[in-house]
Amino acid sequence: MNTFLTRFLIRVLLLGITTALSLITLQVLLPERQDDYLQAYNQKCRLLETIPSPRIIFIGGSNLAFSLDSHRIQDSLHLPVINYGLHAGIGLKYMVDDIATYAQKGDILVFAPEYSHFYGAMYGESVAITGLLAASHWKKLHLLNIRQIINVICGLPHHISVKLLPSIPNERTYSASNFNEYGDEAKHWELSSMPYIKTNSIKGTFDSEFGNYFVSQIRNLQQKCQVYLIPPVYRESNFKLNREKVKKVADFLQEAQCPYLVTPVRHVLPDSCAYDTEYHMNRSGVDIYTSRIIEELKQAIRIPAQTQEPDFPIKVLHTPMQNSDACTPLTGTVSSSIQWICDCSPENANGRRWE
Amino acid sequence: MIFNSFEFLLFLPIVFILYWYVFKALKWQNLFIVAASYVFYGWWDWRFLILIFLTTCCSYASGLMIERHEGQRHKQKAICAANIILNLLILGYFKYCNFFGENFALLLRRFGLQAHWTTLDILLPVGISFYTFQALSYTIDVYHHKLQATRNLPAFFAFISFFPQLVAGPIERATHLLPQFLVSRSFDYNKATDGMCQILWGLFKKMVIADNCATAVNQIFNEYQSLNGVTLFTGAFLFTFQIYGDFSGYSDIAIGTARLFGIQLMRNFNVPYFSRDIAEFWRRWHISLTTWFRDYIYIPLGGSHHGKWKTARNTLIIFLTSGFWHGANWTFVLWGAYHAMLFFPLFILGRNRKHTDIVAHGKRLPSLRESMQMAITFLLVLIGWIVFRAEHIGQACNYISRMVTQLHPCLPEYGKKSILFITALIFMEWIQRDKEHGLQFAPNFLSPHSRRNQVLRWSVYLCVSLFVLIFAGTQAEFIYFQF
Repeated sequence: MNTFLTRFLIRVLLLGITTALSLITLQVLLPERQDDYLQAYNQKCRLLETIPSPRIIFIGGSNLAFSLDSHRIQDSLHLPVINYGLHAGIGLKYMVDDIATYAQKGDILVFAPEYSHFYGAMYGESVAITGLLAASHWKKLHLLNIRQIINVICGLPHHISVKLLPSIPNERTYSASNFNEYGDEAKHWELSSMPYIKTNSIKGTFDSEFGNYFVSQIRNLQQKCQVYLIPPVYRESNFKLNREKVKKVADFLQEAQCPYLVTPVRHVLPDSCAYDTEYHMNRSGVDIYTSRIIEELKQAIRIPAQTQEPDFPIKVLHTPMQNSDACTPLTGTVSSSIQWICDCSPENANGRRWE
Repeated sequence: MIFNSFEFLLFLPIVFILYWYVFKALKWQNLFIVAASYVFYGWWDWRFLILIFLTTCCSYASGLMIERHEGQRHKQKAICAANIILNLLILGYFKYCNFFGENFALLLRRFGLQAHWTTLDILLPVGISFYTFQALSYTIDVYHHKLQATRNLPAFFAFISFFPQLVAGPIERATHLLPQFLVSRSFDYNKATDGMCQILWGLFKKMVIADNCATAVNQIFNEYQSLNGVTLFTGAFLFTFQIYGDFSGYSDIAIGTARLFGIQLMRNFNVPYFSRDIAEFWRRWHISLTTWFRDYIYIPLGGSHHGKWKTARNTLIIFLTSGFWHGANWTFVLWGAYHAMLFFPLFILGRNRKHTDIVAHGKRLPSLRESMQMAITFLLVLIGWIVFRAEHIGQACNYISRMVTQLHPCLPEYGKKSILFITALIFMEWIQRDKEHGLQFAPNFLSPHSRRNQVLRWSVYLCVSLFVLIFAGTQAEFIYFQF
């Protein structure tokens, strides 16, 4: 019996090994898709390598890619802007570790991580992180820890499937060519919002261990850069559903002496501003979010000497946004239900300034 | 723990190796199976173990008590009934309590009485319907003298909790499965190899077919009010294959896994979408449940021996019960009634056992008549699945009405990849329709002496393994766990 049993186990093992080797072969032989959304990472890396300091770099997931108008920020703050935001699925750990290799003295780093990063997504989703590494020709494997490497291995089959059977593109397909020269996904600005957007709850439990790692990395970056942490833009229905989880993130950062520059509610926008997910905004949402970020950064950042000193219209924080066509300004819409974190007073905003 | 998870990928080889290499004696093997099964089941929630333990103990004790009162039929009947009632009460409480409460309150309100039902927060134990029915089969079989009550506690616990089929069947009969735990088992290389192939085929059906369909189906059913008829038809078509891939895939993995441990489980699906009428469909779909209802409800009610009206009544009862077994929702009851309605004309015309063999047996392709029959049956089944999938009857009616009224010629917007995979499934199932599963080759093809066949066979295994890994969808849970 034992002979047959051993033979059986060996054959099953052989099949497993052959399958793994075939996967690697397919990955090597099949070319990467040049229009893949994650290929935009290379463009962002080029911006980071070529644009000299001082510069403002936005770091986060797709909330930044889809909800920021970097050109407006650049015009307002008179500093070059790079939008590094691409995909929350690559994990906050990778983003922090990667940006540390590009950060230069005098840079202004603005982090806007998605809330899910603090609830289990810090090491990334297998599909996204594999796609990202493949897009960058596996040059940044050294940045990964063992959990991220496992994620990459798990994501390999799906990455191959996308190369073998790519989706038929339509106007809403995410693509590397949709990004503008600042790193914003600008194509969707012209498109209407999706008729139905699911209101997902944030899954997972809060990972304070990763939170501590994140804070320590921020502290390291502060040695040479100005670093700010802002809440991601967020759809109102999702915020209402996940209020406690958002609060937990804000409280944790506050306790770690690394608070958000403003309260999360400042970046909560009405449902009508969402494009296709809770973090992706349509043109109106982009305008509101960008305006708010400009105001917040104007108050917070120390502008380097060679640029023009902007005036700081602190009172603006309390006035409704002017340029929202389709969206209702948030003021008075959700504030009653989110009193716990609704203190956006200028004093408070200044009090939260940290460097 | 679910079959398509990383945990199970570790769990199965460990249990397999320990089972054959360490626990060689029968008693130890059974005890080890019980321990492994409890770990497997407790992985969801350890509290579930209390219920299954209770069900097992009651059924074991009732079997012994029935045997002890041999010759006192009324006492035996009382013991058997008590065990059935107890098990059904447990099932009823956990699965149907809220449903009955809400509907009773609704009924009272219709009569102008003030009634309000507060929905209880009851956690539905995974697979409770499956193991409850399996436990009931034991007591009823002992009562009917089809089986001797067992005194072998480890074997009985292993029979109720055997992990491959614990949470989603096949619902085994005590007469078939229990005796297998009472005799020593030895490793059979061919059975184990075939078991592995069946697992692979089950994974293909679950991960490639069902999970890919699930994404599109969820999207279509969520947004059905804004979609056109073609897309809605595509949604129904994809769900038809999602539920088949999901459930028959689970059954294949369960049967294959059991074979690795030297246990043979009953077949649960036999290419149901190649059926030529509804009666044939029900002989090929969820066979273990259909035959359970036949053996323990239909026949005790008189079966087909008391005239056409009583037979029709009995048939309606099992269809409605079958629907209700799936869940506490009127959609399931309507689904059962719909199938009963499709079955009655065949029954009245005496054509319900017309197609008992496999379609186009010995031929490559079906005849035009057979193709038409299969297409019509498939369409009727597909409409039933819309009712089954809908959250409430209103949604089902709206969906079907929109599917028919908004039917404009266009290409489907969703699920194009899934349709490609479904085509591969249909092709494989068609050429393998006389086999137990899609990767079971003919005996001469299995011959280890032919090197060419060996290479071909291993190439097929490799291709399917790669297919499963590369094209796996994202949904993980099995639909039938909730039943």
